[in-house]
Amino acid sequence: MSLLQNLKLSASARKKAVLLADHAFFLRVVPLAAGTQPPEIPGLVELALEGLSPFSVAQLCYGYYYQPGASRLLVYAAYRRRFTVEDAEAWAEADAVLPAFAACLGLAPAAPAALLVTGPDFITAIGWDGSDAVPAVVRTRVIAADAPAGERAAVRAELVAQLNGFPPPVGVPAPTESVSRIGDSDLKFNVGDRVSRFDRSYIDSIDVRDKAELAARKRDRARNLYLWRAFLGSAAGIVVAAMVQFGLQGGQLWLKRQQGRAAEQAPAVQKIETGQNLANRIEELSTRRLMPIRMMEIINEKRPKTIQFLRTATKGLYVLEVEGQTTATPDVFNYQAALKDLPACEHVELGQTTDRGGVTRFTLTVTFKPEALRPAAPT
Amino acid sequence: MKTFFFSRHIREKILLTTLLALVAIVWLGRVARSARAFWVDWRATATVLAMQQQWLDNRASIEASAAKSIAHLDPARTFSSPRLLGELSTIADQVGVRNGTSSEILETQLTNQFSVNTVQVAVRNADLPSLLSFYDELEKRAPYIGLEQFSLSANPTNPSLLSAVMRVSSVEINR
Repeated sequence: MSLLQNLKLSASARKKAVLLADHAFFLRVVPLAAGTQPPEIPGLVELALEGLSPFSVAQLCYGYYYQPGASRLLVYAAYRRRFTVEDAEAWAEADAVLPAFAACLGLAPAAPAALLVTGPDFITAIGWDGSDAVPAVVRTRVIAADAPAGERAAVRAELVAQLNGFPPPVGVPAPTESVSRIGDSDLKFNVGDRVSRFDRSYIDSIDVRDKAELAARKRDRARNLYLWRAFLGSAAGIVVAAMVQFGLQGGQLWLKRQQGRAAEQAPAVQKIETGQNLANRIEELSTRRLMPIRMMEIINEKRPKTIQFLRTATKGLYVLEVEGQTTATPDVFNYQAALKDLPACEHVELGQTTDRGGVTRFTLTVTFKPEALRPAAPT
Repeated sequence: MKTFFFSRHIREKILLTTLLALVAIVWLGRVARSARAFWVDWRATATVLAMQQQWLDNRASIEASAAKSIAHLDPARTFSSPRLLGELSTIADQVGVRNGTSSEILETQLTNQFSVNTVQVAVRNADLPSLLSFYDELEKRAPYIGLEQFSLSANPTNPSLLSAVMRVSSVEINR
């Protein structure tokens, strides 16, 4: 984001950062042993504070700046009682609370550089040696807001002297507000004509508020992020629904045209289909003839004398359904078995069988083998 | 939008998200139902069109095959519906079952080249030899006249008398 864009951000759209006077804090650059892992850092910070401060950690507002792989750690802390209850209440709404100089630490220049950060009642010197993202020197001096120019120059000269070995310091006004939008994951400050940026994972460490409170805020942020994602997902769902609906309307028009085409073609197709069916029927009439009398002759050969046929009907070319009656019930089953043994019969099924007044009525469905009913060649 | 959302109070965030989610769910549900219906219609129409195309693509070969199927038939010996009825009546006369015979035209299916006429004929209370003669006469007229269905039943009061119901088809070549 360019500086111009940053300046255009309205105050209500910005993340709220409370930047405290540097002189309220004591600062230490703590060297780290090689191979120190990031999870060890909070413990080392508390150990350092216990050694450096006459107050217990619980009585301090503290923060630290560290980058993975850095050989040092910058710790800053202030006695909690230096801030009023009203201050603490104002902090509750803030996205970050940190000393003004800490807002410049996100610059992390790759080459040696020095800054003189001037606030209303303090001046802070920061020196980076270029080998580490964490500054090698940080010194701050309190100075009255209405201090004469000479006194101010003397303090400045003293701090410049502290930056011996660093490039000439660049004077910048202390940042007063963040330039990140609400909802941005990172935190940014304008420092002179450059932007100091802190990744989301460092925001809690540079913040000086109570760490338990920060953990609760972190949970709130996570919950807000879930809600935001759900909000975005829902919005995306609505967009997808709108697009699909729009697409479906177009699709319906296309489908209507296709259905119209199908309806237009239907009579011609029906005609072709009828032609095909009729051609098949003519073919059947010529080659495969229904032979009901031959079917009856075949099944009559094995008919016991006790069985009378009441009705016969063909079903297709090769199936004959027979309704019959007898006074000798076992003959029905014997007859079925006899038919099954006939070489012309493929399948014989006994259907409904009823016995009333000594007369058994039955239905037999006989399927013949096609070769048994082959007609003579047409003349 | 993100700034607006994050600057809202938590209750407003929840309300906004819930409202938007409800709208999305309801709308997506409706759209999904419409899409499913569209998909079914589309599939059905695509299937119909594909089948129609298949028939249309095969029109020439079907017509050729139809022409081939009637090539061996003599147009002069084919039967229209009225001619078929007349022929059946003649046969019934010949075999002596004229009084118990009734015929009814069931349908006529037409193509450009030929038509197939279907008639139901019933011969009632006839003896077996007469019926067999009727059947034999029909057989003689094959393939111009063909039997498609046949049922035979005995008279319950006089089992020596039989009734036959036949569905008979004839081919008519349109030339």
